[in-house]
Amino acid sequence: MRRRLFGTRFKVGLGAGILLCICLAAIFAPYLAPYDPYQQSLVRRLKPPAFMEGGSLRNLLGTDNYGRDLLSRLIYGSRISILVGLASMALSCTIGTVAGLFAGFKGGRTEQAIMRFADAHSAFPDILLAIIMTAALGGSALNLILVLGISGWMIYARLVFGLTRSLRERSFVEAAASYGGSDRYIVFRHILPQVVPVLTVVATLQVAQMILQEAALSFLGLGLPPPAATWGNILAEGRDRLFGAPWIAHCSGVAIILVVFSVNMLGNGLREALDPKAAGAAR
Amino acid sequence: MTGIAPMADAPLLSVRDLTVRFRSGRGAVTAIDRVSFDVARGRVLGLVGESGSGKSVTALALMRLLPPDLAAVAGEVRFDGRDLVALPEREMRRVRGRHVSMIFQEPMTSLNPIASIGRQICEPLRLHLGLGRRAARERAAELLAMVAIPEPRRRLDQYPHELSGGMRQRVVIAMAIACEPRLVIADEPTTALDVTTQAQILDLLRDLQSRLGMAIIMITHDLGVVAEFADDVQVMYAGRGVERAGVREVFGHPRHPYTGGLLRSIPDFEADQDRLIGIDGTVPSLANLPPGCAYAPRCERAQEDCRTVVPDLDIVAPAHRAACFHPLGVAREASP
Repeated sequence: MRRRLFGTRFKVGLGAGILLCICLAAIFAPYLAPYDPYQQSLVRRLKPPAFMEGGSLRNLLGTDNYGRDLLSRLIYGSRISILVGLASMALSCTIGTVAGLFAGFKGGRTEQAIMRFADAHSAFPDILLAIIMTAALGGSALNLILVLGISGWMIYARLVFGLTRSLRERSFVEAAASYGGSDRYIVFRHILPQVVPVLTVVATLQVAQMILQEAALSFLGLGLPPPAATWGNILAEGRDRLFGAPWIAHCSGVAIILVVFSVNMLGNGLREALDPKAAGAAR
Repeated sequence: MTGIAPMADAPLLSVRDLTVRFRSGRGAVTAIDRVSFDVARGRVLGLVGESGSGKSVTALALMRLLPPDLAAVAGEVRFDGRDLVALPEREMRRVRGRHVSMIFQEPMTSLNPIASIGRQICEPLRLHLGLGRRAARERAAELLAMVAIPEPRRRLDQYPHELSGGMRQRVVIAMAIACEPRLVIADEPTTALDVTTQAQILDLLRDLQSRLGMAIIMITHDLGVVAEFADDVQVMYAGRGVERAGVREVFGHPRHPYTGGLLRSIPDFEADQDRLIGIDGTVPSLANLPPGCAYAPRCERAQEDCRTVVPDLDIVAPAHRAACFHPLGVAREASP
């Protein structure tokens, strides 16, 4: 048995702990943030963080080009990141699960149509789709969720399709039909519950992907338009001052890394905890 | 149910010329070819044959559980006056589990591993009888007691992996009899169990059958099970019915050479027997059946007519049908 660096419980605990802190920060942003994230001050432009030379305790993480408090912007930015990450995951998970269940259970032409469409969609670059949609609809949180949600459904569809296909052949599914269960009954009572544990793991890991993608889109100017405090925007603004004021890019970069790291910890921990083969070793 | 009053002497289930063709890449394969049989109320029909003879396909066709895009089903399955082949899917669902139910071969896989025993037994009760949660649970406990599972109330909250194979098969049987169906199709219910458990399960089925007055179609390749359990026997070979009669008649005076061969191949431990007797050759592929009798290539009695014409399942003796031009015991007497 391969030894793991961290135990399952440690992973789940650490990941969930950090995420919980970030979620709490997002929810209670107005109480936690020391300043209004949009309040500009030309006098206090480009102040370094408290722990750097020339910094002061007034702005713990320093200020940006317009004198806005970075800590406050970061805290408010977590709202967008968490919201977009969770909502777009929920959207793509729902689309993908329904498509996968349908394709896997019906088989035949339905399967061909859905799965080939998923293949075609996978071959289409997400960023291009995002550019087209933002160009057509404009940048807003809702559009970001739509873009990310629609571009991520294929992974769920493939996963659920494969599981459904194999579960459909199991004899308890046939048995359920033999005592009078309808297709819908079989899918929702017998197949879906067995798919959910696997979905949970993939969905958790995908939240991290979505947060990264949101930051990437904002960085490219395809997310929320500039004054908005999002981690991607802070990163984009920091890019121009990477040499003069590196803390701007660094603080949002560290925030993104922290979230993705903790989500991955949680996801991997959950996978180990839910995988019956790994469970014995983990306890 | 329906307004049609069932005739007292009409069989519960009457299957006529049931044919199942599977579409495959290279054309169609006839898995079942014009199979006919009756099941009388409260009686047990043994459906015997080797692997691939079409026993299980027959069962699935009766239940209409074959995938419609792959299998074409023709013929007539008259159950209590209604033709199940022509029934709309919605009504068929009300028949499955309520009037006709099925016991599967593998008790390990025919229960959902992540649902409690109680929930699974409650499912047919709630689907068909509309029982509430509490009433269904009450009835589920009764059913577990009926299939002789000790401590039924505690078992309701257990999961399939906590039960032994025999216990699981009892649970499957409890689910099958939950709505007191008039016909139970048991597809090799004891094949996956060890011998002592097999005997217990057969005893249980016999006991339930006499208590509830239900008819059973017992699908098996085990002639011992048939001899012990069935009232009537239908022997299948390569998707066709080859012999049908009462159980004593078939075992005492087999008419079809295939049945004769099967009975001869049962090892006799009294006699000092060195080798097992078998039937030479193998079952022909369904995609490539000989033009006449499917058994002709392996049959020592085969004549010219056997190789060209498919024999019908005709009466060869009182209440005894065999699909053979030169049946055992009869032909010798007939020929001078």
